[in-house]
Amino acid sequence: MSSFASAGRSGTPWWRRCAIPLVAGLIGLLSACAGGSGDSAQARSGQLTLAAPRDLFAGPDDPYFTHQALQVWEPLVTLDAELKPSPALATTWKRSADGRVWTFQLRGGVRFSDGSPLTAEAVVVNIERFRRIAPKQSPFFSLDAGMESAYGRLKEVRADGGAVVFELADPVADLPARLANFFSMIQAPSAFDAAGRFAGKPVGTGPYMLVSSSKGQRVELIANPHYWGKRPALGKVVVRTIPDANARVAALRAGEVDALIDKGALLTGQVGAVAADRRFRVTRTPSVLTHYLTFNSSRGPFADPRLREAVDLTIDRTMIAKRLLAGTATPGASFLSPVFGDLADPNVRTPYDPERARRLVSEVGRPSRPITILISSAEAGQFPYTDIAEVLRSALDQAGLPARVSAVEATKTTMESGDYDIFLSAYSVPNGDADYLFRRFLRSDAEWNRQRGLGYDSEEFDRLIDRAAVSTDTTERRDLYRKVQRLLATDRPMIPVAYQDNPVVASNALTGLTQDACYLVDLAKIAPAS
Amino acid sequence: MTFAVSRALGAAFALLVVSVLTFSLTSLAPGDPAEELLRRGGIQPTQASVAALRAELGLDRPAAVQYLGWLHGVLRGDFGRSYADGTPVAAQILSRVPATLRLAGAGFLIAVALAVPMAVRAQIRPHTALGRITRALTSAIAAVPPYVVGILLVSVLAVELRILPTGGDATADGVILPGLTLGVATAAPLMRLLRSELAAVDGSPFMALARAKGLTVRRAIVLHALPAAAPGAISAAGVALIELVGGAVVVETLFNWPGVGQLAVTAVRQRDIPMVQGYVLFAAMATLLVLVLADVCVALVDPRLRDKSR
Amino acid sequence: MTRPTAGLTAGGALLTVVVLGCFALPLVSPHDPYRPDPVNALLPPGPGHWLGTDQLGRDLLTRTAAAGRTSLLFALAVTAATTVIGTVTGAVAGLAGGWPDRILRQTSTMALALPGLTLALAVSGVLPPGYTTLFIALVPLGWVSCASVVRTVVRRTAMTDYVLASRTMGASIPQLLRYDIAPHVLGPACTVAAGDFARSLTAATSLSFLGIGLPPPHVDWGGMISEATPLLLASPRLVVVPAIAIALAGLSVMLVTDGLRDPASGP
Repeated sequence: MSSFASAGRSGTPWWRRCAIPLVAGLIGLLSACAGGSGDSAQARSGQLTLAAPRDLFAGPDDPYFTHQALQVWEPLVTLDAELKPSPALATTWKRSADGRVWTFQLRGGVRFSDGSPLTAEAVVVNIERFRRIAPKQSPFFSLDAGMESAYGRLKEVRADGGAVVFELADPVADLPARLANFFSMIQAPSAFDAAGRFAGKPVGTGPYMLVSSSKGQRVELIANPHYWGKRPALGKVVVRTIPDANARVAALRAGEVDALIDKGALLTGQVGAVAADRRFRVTRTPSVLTHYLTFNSSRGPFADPRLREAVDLTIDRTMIAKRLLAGTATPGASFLSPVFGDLADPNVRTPYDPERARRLVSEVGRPSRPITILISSAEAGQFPYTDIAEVLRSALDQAGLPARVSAVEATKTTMESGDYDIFLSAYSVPNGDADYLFRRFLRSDAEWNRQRGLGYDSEEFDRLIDRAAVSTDTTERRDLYRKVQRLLATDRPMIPVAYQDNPVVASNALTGLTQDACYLVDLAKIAPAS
Repeated sequence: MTFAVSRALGAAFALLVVSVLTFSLTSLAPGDPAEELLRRGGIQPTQASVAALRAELGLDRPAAVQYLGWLHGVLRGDFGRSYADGTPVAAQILSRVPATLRLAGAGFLIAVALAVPMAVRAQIRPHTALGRITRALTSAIAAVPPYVVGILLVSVLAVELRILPTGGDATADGVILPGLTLGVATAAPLMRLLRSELAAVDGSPFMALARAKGLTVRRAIVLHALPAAAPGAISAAGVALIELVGGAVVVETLFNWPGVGQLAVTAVRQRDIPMVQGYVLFAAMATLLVLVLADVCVALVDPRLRDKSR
Repeated sequence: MTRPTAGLTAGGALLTVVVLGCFALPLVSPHDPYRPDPVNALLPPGPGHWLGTDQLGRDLLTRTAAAGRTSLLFALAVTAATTVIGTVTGAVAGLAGGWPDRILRQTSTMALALPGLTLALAVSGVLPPGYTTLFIALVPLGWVSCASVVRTVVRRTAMTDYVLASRTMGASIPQLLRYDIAPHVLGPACTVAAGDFARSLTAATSLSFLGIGLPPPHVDWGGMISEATPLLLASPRLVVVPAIAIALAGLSVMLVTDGLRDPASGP
């Protein structure tokens, strides 16, 4: 109070005297800080700054600690562009004639980032740890109780000389595809404590090591001196987490990050404008994600297959892929997307014929109440589901099926209570196994099928997928899966709408940004453009 | 002293009710968190996994038992573990408090720097053109929701002109844009509160006396009205600070500011219920702390209020 | 003082224009604000569509007006609820004193403890999205400010000489409320209501902007801006138009509130 008084007495109003230092202070703060913003530019030499929409770091309680994309750890087996198993830490594998024993040969001369060598025993420790801690949730891929979808019915995993042997109770057609990526993560046994948690930092074999991380904000990596492959061109990588899509693109355009990576790096609506900017290069690769419509066929209008067909015919898939998904997707046809290579049936067609749809509806008769199109409000933030559902509603309306859109958070509860007719949602696979989608969603005893009222009960379908899962003859397996897809194309319990690409974007100052179908970017191949 | 204690007791009771409210609301929420957790990679979990996780999270117990367990933990500083990644909620919230405080502090500084001179000037000379225009402009910007102001600031200053970073706290100047967005939104209401305080004081007899003594309007206001308005100003500042922390939710999301608000929005989007519960309780605690402190400060500055309850 | 009235007049006029636009436009427009027409997506402004079309080919002007109708009606509903609840509880607490008054004080402490979007975020995050949830999220806190203002006015009025006079003349409590107290409460309650309206408008649209407000196909201004932000680079007008609309609405309400609150101190 005394300062007020003395300020007042000296003749100048105190507020003016206060305002001047305040404004000066603010300007000083601004200019002092402006000096700091230069570091992103100087960081260009030798450091790579990326941004991802989600945290690629999960922490010591997670089964994996970090996402595979950070390349701190490597799996035994990875996947190529056609979701075929390809060598990572295992170089070759062979299966016994009955498909019950699988032997994986390890890459020689590989060391973990702490300098210890990769051994078959270390691999066994990792697989057994997974089985011990399952079920376990993860923001990446949760571990199921028993790990059956990953390892089949595993009797024993053991080290045999330099090789790792999986001995199974039942034959499995393609164990490497099931193991691929997350489920065969290998880290040094010293990384884990007795309970299977991480004791400290992750200790992997990848080109990078985790230096520091702050949850939900940033991860810093440096090159692993013990890496077995070619040393990455950029010794330091910072991955920032920017959940808001617009903040992400703003950071890219403002030059604060060099590239945007990971699933959903760019929203479909942003792709066009970013691609048009000559400072950036958008890379678009097909992904394992497919948008499906699931029908509630256990009751209501869609118990009648003709109405399911009518819906199939009213969907203008080309328009959805081109316009609503802004060209980031291709129209869906076969149940398995083209990333499954020759397993996807190229002969399944999904014509757009609203006229025929109208005829089918009038044949069956108008349903007594409007159709409910269900979407998850969480997914609506990632894809323009609101728009797609709106277009679908309008198309159904014109076909004589009045509809309403319902967006809910808890889709499971809604579906189990039967309060839906069509559910629009995207699914992907955790590994390269085609069996996964069929068995999890549509087999007559699948929980998804039974509890959510899909009402799909086809003996032929069950028989076909069961045979394919154990078939060791690749041609026979392929033909079985194609047959399954033709069956699904006529039964229509779930229909694919579009196969989603995943666009990622990098500044032109970089080269070598590539991405596989599982959203994995090879950080070690990124280099400054000369 | 008794005043502070009675205030604190009232706040503690309010907190208890808030905790019951928060917990019951979130347990009424439809859906099965266990399944949604396991689905987060975009894949479908098996029934056995869902059941096992439900048991692990204690979701199969009655709601009242769950509440008591939770409350017992909270009293020991354990807010439970995040559904999203299993990390302790309290640690995650605490690790983000400094960022939010930094943002709220910057916003508060900007709001005060704008509001105080404007309020004083308005009381001294209410009808100058410059004063009118600045006040009208501040009010006009405050009438626009912060997310609109924020989008505009990012597009122009960060993306097009590249003067400032788009947000985040990687560099020291990252705070400027979000701080400005928050500060401008708070300046107008703060200015209004200060003005009415000043006006009320200006009408009191001792001001008439001060003028009768021959002081100019300006000196009378600066020497007598401002100190007399201090208690009101402190309350107003407390309210403004609280509003800032509340408003930070939108601004933090918009500017990728790693504060508590961004954490809360992410938690809500992921239906991370322990995190949402922790956030609400934390926000309530912080707010009540500010309120009680402001009340105590006011009582210290203004002896008239010490004995009255209101 | 004539100038402050000018602010009120200008605010009133602007508000009238905004409200009329939002309610009349969708009625007279040849376009459906909700029905997608992807063939005409992202048309630039022209004779058919004065402000062009959005990513689904819907007329931007009509859609902005329809979204405004949703926003304004919803804010009005929330304000009506908070004002009625606030006035009744405030009057009861102010007249009765004693424990009703203590309960109100304790409740307002609680409401103050959950500022801004805190509770709203939690509620709309866990309950199924929709009007009801948003309503539940915004009403609980809003009524308290109204209640405390009304309480103060009622207390002050109840102690005045003329109320005492009416009392001694045997006026019943309802009569007191109707003839002696209500006229004094009306003004402050209206001012608080106007402030509440502006706050509800911002809060509801903010939640929609964050993607946890109204679910589709309902859309308010916040939802429109949220939908359009991915297209900020490609078609800024999709963000700018609803932003201007909400700015105008906020501005007019602010002018009216200021004019009502304190006619002598308009900007």
